[in-house]
Amino acid sequence: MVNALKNAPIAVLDYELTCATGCGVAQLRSALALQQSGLRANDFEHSTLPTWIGRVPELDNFRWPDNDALWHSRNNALIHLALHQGQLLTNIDALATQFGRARIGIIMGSSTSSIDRSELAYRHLTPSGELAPEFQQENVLNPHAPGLYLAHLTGISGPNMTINTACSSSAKVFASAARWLQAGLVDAVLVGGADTLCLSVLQGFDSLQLVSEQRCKPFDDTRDGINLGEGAGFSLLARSGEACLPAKALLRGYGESSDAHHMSHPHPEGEGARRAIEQALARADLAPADIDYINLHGTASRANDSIEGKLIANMFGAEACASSTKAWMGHTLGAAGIIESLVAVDALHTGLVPGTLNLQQVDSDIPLALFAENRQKNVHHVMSNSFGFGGNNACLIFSEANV
Amino acid sequence: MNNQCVIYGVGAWGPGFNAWSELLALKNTAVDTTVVKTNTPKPAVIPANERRRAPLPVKMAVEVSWQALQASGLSSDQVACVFGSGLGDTDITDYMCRALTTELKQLSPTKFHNSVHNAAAGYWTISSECMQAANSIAAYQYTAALSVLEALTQCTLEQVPVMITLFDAAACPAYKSLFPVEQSFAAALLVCPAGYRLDAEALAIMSCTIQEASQQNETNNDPCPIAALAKVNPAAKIAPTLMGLGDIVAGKAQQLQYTLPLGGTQNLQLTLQALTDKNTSI
Repeated sequence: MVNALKNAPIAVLDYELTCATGCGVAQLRSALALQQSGLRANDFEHSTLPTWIGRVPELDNFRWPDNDALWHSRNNALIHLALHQGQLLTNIDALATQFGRARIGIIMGSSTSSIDRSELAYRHLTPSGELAPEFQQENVLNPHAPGLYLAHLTGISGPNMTINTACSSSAKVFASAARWLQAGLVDAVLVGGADTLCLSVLQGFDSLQLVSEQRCKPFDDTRDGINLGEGAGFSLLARSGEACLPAKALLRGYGESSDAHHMSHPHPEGEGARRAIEQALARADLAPADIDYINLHGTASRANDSIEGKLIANMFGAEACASSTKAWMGHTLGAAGIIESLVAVDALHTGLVPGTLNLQQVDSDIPLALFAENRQKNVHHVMSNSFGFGGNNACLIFSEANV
Repeated sequence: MNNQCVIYGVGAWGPGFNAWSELLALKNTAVDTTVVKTNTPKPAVIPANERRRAPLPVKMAVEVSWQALQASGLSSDQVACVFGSGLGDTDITDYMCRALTTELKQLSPTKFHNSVHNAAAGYWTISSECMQAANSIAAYQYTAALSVLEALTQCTLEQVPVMITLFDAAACPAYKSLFPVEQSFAAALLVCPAGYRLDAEALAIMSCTIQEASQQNETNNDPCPIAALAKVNPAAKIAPTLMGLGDIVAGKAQQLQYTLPLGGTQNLQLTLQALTDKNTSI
C-alpha cells in the first residue's frame, strides 16, 4: 500500500473528552471501572420521546465567558467544556510556542454542528420570519461552526475545516490530519468531534424507527434500537518524534470507504466496512490477530450489529476481544468516532477493556464471544469502527507509543 | 510537498450555464447572470425514483460530478471524492426547524436522512457505485480552498484520482440576512496523480501552496461572468479558476495563479499550468 503509516506514524500527544460517562478522561476511567453508564430516561428540554439519552449534566451549569454572545450554542458550550479538561490547553500552548499557531491545523468532525441553535432561533423568529438579533450568528449557523469556534478559543490560525460525514465524521478527522502531517502542510493538528443532543436528531432517528424506548442493548438478542447521546473529544497530533511533548499513543492505520448501497441502511454484507478495516490493517502493517481490542460501531440497531458482528467474526475470529460502548454514553453521532477511539486508546494505558453494557444474550446470529463485564489485559494495538449515513465508513488503528 | 495533479474532467452548473463550456461561453455575452434562471439539473446517473426525492444541492452536486467523470473516462469506483459545501442544505434546515416548532415535531424520514451534510457524497457513491473514500467538508467561506487542499493532498499522497465537488444552493429566506446567497452554483474537478495515464485528454496541471495573507501574491484578475456570486456563494469562489482553465486549454495562457482565502492569516495560492504534451501528462 502507498502511504503506510508503519514507518512514519503519527504521535497522539494528548487527548481529552466529555460525554455522559464522564467529564474528562479521569472521570471516564473511574466510571468505566465501576461499570457506571451515563444513560438516563429522556429528560431533554422540549422532548417527550420515550427513550434513554446520554446527556452531559455539566452543561446545565455551563457559564459563558463575557463577550462571547455571538458564539452561543449548546454544541459550542460542549466544545468549551471538553477543551478545558486535563492539560489540553496547556499542551496546545506548548505546541504553539514550538511551531507557531499558523503551523497548527484544526480538523473537527460533527453531524449536527450547531443545529441546536437553529432550532432555538426558529422558536424566536421575528413576525416577518427573520432571525432575531441574538441569533444573527453567521459563525454558528453554518456547518463549520465547530471548527470556527475552536479557532476562536485556541487562537490556532492554520488550515481549519469541519468534516461532516454523519457518524464517521470524527474518525475521518484522523485520516485527514495524518495526510496533512505527512504532506508537511502543518506541524501539528488539533482534531476533534462534537455533537449535542437536539430535537433534530431525537425526532429524526425516531422518524426512521431506530430509537429504542429502553436502555440500548448492543448485540443483544432483544436489542431494538439506539439511544442518542452527546459528547466532544479532542486529540493533539504531530509527526512522531518532532513535538516537544511525549507521545501517549501512535496512530498507525486508517481506512475510509463507501458502501455504495443506501443512505440510511448499511451494506448487507458489510463490504464497505470490510474495505475500511482492510485498509487500516494494511497501513498499520498488522494482522487481525495483532489487534488486542476492537471498539465496535455497535449502535444496537438490528441491522448494524448483525452486519458488523458477522463481519468482525469473519475477519478477526469468534474470540476477538471487542465491545460496543454505546450503552455507556449513547450514540454521540459525529463525536462517536473520536470518543470511541479515545476509549480504545485509553485502554493502551489502563489495560481496561470495557464490556458491552446491558448485554444479556448475544444475538444467536452473531458468532462473536462478546461480554458485558469489563476485562483486564495487556493491550498493545486497538481498533475503532465508525459507520455513517450515506454509507460512509472509517476504521482507525492505534498502538502504544513504545512499540 | 509537491502536490501537482492533472485535471482530466470539469463539470459546472449555475446561473446561465449547464456545463463548463457554457460557463466559458458566458464570457463574451451580455447575459446578466445575476437574474438569469437555469433549469434544475436532472443527473442521469441517479435512478428516476431516487432523483425525485433528492434535494437541489444533491442534484447539482451529482450532476457536475457526473460531467467531470464522463470527461475523464474513468469509472467512479476508481475515484475518491471530496465534496465541499459552505452552507449545506439550508432549505432542509428550514424545513426541520419549522417542523420542530410544532406540537407533534414529526419529521419526514427521507428529509431527515437527506439532511446530513454528506447527502451529496452519499447519493453520488450510491448511484455511481463508488466504494472509494468519500469526504464531506464544510469550511464556511473558505470551503473551496480547504476542499482543493484536501483533495490535492489525498491525490498525491495516496496516488488515487480524486473528484473535487463544490456546491452551494441559494440560502433559505430566514437565513438571507446572514448568507445573502440568491443563486445556486456547483462545480467539479477530477484530478489524477502525476503520471496516471488515461485515454482522455489532460487539461492542465493544478497545484497549491499555503501562504501568509500578508505576502503579495500574483493573482489572475480577469473578469469572471459570475463575479458577484463568487463573493457570497462559498462554492462559487472556484469560478475564476474554471474560467482560467478555459484559457489554458485554449492555449491563451501558459500559467495562471489564483488566491483563495483559507481563513486565519493564510491564503491558498492555486496554480494552473499548461501541459506541454496533452497525452503524457506531467
